[in-house]
Amino acid sequence: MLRMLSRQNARRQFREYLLFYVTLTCLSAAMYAFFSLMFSEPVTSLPDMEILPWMIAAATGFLIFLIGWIVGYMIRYMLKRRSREFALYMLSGITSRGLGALVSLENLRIGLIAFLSGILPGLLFAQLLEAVLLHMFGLPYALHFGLSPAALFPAFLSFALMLLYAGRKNRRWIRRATLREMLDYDRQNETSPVVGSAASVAVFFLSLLACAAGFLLLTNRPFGQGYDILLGTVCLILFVTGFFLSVPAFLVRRFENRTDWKYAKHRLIAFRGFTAKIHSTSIVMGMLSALFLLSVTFAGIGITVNLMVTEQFNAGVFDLMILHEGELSDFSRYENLIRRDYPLTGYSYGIYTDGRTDFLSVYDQVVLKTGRALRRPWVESAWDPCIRQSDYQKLRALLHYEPVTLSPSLCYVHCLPALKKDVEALIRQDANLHYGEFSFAKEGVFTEPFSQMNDYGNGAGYLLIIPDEAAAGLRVLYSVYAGVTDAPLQTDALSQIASDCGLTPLDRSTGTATPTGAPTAFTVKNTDYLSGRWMDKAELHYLYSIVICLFYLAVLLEIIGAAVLSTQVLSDRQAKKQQERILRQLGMSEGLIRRQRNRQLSFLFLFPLLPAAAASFCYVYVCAMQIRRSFLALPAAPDLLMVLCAYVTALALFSLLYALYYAAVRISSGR
Amino acid sequence: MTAAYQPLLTVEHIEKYYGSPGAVTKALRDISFDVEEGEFISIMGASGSGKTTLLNLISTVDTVSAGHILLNGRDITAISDDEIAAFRRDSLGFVFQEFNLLDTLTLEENIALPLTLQELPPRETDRRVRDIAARLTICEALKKFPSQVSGGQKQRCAFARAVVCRPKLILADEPTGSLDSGSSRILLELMSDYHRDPGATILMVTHDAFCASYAQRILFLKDGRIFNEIIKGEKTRSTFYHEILDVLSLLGGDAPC
Ligand SMILES: Nc1ncnc2c1ncn2[C@@H]1O[C@H](COP(=O)(O)OP(=O)(O)OP(=O)(O)O)[C@@H](O)[C@H]1O
Ligand SMILES: [Mg+2]
Repeated sequence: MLRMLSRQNARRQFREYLLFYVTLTCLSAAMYAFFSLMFSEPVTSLPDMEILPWMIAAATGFLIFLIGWIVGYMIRYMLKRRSREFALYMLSGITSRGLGALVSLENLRIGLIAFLSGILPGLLFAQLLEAVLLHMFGLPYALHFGLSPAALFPAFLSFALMLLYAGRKNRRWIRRATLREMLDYDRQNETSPVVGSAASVAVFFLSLLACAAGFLLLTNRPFGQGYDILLGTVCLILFVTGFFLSVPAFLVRRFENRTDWKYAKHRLIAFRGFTAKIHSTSIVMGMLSALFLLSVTFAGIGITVNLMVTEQFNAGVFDLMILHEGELSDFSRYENLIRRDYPLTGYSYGIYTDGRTDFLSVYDQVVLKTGRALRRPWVESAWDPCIRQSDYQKLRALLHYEPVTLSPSLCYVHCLPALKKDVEALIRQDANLHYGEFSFAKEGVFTEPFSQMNDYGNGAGYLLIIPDEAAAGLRVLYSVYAGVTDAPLQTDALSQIASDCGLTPLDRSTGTATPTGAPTAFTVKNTDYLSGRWMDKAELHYLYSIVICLFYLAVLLEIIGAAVLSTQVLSDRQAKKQQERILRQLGMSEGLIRRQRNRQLSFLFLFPLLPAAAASFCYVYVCAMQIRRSFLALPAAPDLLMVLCAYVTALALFSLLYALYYAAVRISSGR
Repeated sequence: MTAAYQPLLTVEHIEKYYGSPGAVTKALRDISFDVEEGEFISIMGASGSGKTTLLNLISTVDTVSAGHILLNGRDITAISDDEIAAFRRDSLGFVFQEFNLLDTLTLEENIALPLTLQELPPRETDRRVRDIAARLTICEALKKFPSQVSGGQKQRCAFARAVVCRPKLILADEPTGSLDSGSSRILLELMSDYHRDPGATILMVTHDAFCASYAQRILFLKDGRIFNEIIKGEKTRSTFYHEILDVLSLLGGDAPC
């Protein structure tokens, strides 16, 4: 009998539960997609991607509980709306235990359907993610279908865990509620969660305190090792939650008895519409704001990282660089081999040094100014690197840069844009600055992209351009063959070239010691090394793992937040309809009713967004700076601009999904 | 009789059917009557005889199946939504049989609502709300929500909300249904005042002969038709009261169907 009732209910309530169902389906799709990504063959074979599964597993663990709590909230909200129906069941003799079982059965049924229907979108989603990821690494992508059992099981497990966790609390509510509570539930108005003006003021100040503490923790980082970021996040979430618990409560208290305010400008209905739901609305808004804060932040950080990596990538201009240690070398045999497969134009030259460090100290100062620690491990980067003017002109021609006239009696500099100001200052200040017997040109600093972002390129950050005769007799740090192909040489092409030509791919993360004490990345004797812009990109794989994880979190959090809000709005629809009917009978015009409805809806959707948007900007900024400092070489563009760019993109992406929910709610509540 | 003569309200051969074409309930069948400006009319009849339906049609809450209702010579069955809204807001006070208070508003705010729709200054709104609440003795309940007060208090609130705007036409569906005789009397006196002072036209549905005796004219409905009509004229209220009782017994309250 119970079983039958439950089945009937699930079917009858399906329309009501549609949103709930869609949300669960999205979650199931997202979970499947990401697990399947983790276990997919192309991804597991990516260089050094072991860290990604762990990061996703940790994120999933965190999310199961968070989402479980929120989905539980959604269920509870819908259950309370059906409380009259439950009361009637209980009056006709079903025990509260039986009722709990009935509801669990219903939810499990919907959950199972949602999980199954989430698999197909999940498959597509997984394909999309894989394509994006492989594209980032420059690997080819082939569409392939097939259920991955390795992904299905953990996805199912986490989905089931989440649902069980969500159901637990609701069974308890059903068991404890009295019949009277259930009968009257939908007529009752809520009271604010924070009782009394004093209490709400106190909570408000506590939340401000949490806000300040959060920012201090994030900007000063007193503990290190990520603990302060974690604590800071907790503080910010506390701030947002506290803000929404106290501010509405306080305002309601202030305005409830101000007749001159509430009776004016048709405020009454909207104001009471809000206060009647103040408890659930405050909680939902606080929660939403926290979720949105996290979501926009994660997306923003993800995009910043991606921008930084792209910036770094674009600073490399040579598709292929072959390096030879210590002396000038002839690279023509490689060139001929490679030309068989790829149309290649290139040029060989040497990177020299006379052992001076005037410009190196400028570089160090700039690095210190950006707040990074000095890090100069390679022996090849211990002195100012130089290139001959004739070689430099050839390379410019190769890259189709605007030709420059260089005086054969002067020296010039080619460096990253971030160094330009300080290098120019050095040349201006030190009139005696010489290289051999040659002085430096006053207007002679060039900053086009020149593969200088990394070590073992055209210098790490800067390169002196010296007259050919000055190079005679200088020590050769390494010789380079720099090549450009028509189509970009991506990671797989580069590794094929390496094996065809017997070249060693340059690995900038390991080194061997040299007699001077500083290590060198030329770890193998008697070999030549291969590098290139795509290979440099692959070295940033851990940053991509972060990006992907952050996007995963951002999307999930947003889906949940928007779904909770929509559930609340839509499940109040019946009561709202009834209210509008009465208002119509009292002579409120159709236009005014519609305006009021839309205004309330916009308020509900926008209000939680505002503090979240403001806080997340600061947050993105702090985190982006931190990531920039700890992972990347010198910055090459104004920082704030890039963060702003990332933030706006994140907000736009976020708004897109959010607007979908808003439109859906608006349409269905207008009907 | 002059050509300019025009009753406030004219009901012409209206019919109201409910349900699908197969199984219709004829709630009202061919009802016609006139209401002069400033009249106080009571409508009586057994449960299910169509009283609420009639009021709903006049108040534009519902639409007729056939016939016309003219208000000041204008056919309210065929005017635009905006005009209907304006009419309800500015000229009509409707007391619903099931109160129809807004659950999210306190009683005080429920009463103030029509005044805020007319965009009266807040101070004036508040004064009028307190004034009428004092007369109906519901001051202690003003700050409470409908779910926290008794049925009678709700009913008085609903009445206050209908008349607080001093409408020209008051339609009241059993306004004393949940009230004790003392409260009923207060409410009826108030209604009489509105009848006298702004000269409101009143149509009141009631089951109670005592309440009905406040009216000048009584329409009796039976099975959706006007069965009888009596006029108070110069009679005293108690004579009229007994006359009403006579008609009611004739109407068949006790008679077997
Ligand atoms: N929405 C409706 N759908 C179908 N039938 C209806 C509807 N509303 C009323 N009726 C029917 O129309 C008839 C008249 O109903 P009405 O509500 O006007 O009665 P009433 O005179 O107000 O009764 P009471 O004194 O009990 O309030 C009844 O038979 C009722 O069943
Ligand atoms: Mg009725």
